[in-house]
Amino acid sequence: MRYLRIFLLQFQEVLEDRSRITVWFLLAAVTPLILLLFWRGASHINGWTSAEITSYYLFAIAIFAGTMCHHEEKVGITDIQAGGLTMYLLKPFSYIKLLFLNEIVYRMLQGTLGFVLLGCLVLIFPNIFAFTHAFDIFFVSCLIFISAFMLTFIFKTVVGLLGFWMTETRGAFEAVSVLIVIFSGVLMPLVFLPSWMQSLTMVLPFSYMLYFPVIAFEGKLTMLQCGQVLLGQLIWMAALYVFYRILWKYGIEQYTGVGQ
Amino acid sequence: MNQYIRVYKTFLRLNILKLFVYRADLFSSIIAHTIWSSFTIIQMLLLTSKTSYVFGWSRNDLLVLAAMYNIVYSFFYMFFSRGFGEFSTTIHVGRLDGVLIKPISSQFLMTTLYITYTHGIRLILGIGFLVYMLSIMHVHITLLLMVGFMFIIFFSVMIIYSYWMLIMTLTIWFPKLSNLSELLYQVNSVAKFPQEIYKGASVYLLLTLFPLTLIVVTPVKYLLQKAFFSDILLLVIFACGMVFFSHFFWKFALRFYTSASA
Repeated sequence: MRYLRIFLLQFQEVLEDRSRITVWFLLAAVTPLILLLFWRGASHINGWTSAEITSYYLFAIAIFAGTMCHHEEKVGITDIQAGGLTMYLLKPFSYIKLLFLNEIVYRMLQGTLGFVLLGCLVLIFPNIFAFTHAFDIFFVSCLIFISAFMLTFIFKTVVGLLGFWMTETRGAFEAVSVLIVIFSGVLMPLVFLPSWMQSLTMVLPFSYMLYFPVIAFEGKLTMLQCGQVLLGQLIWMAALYVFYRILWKYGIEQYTGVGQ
Repeated sequence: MNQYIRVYKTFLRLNILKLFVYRADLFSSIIAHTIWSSFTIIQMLLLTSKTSYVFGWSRNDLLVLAAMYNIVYSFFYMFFSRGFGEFSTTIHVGRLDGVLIKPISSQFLMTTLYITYTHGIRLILGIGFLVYMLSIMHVHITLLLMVGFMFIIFFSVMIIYSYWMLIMTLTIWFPKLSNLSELLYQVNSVAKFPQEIYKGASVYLLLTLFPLTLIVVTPVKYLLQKAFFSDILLLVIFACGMVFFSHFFWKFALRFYTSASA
């Protein structure tokens, strides 16, 4: 019950910033929209039709808005480096749960914006969208979407915790952003990457954050493949959670409480 | 004018001092800027790995465009972008009061106070890659070509400056929009691609983005000796018009500034 109250309070707080949320959403939409325009002029697109590419990027905007967390700077800079973590350590609540409740509100609002936009476009241009018509695939795709959100949440938390050891984390955060753009499928569908990079994406967690949820909703995965994706997400979540526990345990010993 | 030069020299000196006081920040910024400027090139390499032509631009042309993007934007990021990033906070907490009472242009003070020298790394990488690409494409660079190129870059940076000024001025009415500058960083990537990609898009989109599509494409066309006089004239006219209009808009917006206590 107390977490529900916190969630509702966070909801109120985030809703105050409606205009900022809209700007964040636009921010997520700009790159895919530009790339979408870029591919219209490509002479040859690796076996994909123009409609498939359009569908991919528009789905990517909505799913990116709903799954991609951005709290690493809050964790690494505001809380660990500037000492804001002290306030949370004194509260009778788990830090990661509070972070989760805050982030879930942002994702719900931005994801809603994304899916409303997508829904309108589907209604206006139904022919360009590939969408699964099988209910079971749709249901599993929703599970993949939720897992993608939880995976990015735990991943970004781990990245933020690097602040315990690094006095300046900006370089690391920028590096992670670039890796996500390339390997999650924001830049382009992963099948467009050179084959050695495609193999690399299979062993990294980033493709589970965006690419697989997008193609699952598009109906490009069979039930078995959806299961494999879910399993991959769960393995990465478990591995990152263990890593988070280790980093938190040793990191909190490094924390000085007055800023690093 | 002398007063402005003297003040700007002080800014240059102060920012150098700040650069070396926070050495960890210096190191981290160099890494971050190296990553992002390399990303611009890597992105274009990946995008063109499966397609040989995009709207008639070859892979090499597009790579030159990516290198030029790094060069043009490095000047803007080095001398102005940090100042624009502070707009929202300065206005939101009422620090603009202090700026307005100083005997110097508020626009000048707001946009030139911060200089991020570490963006120089973007410039170096951009120039290095551009020279490499031009040598592959057998483009000979003469002194006259270089002078003309610098002239065009100057006007390109003027357009970016005015574009940011026009948008960031909106924070006078919406001071909580601290992420507006983040959005502009993303919108800048419009300039990385050929103008032709926006053909057939919405008229409103085209009108909004058109100035940005001139910024990088015009110097590339000039270097590859594909530019017409009209291309350069258009850039100059747009740059002058936008500088004038953005200054006028700032002056107009200041009438609505109510200060933090209001």
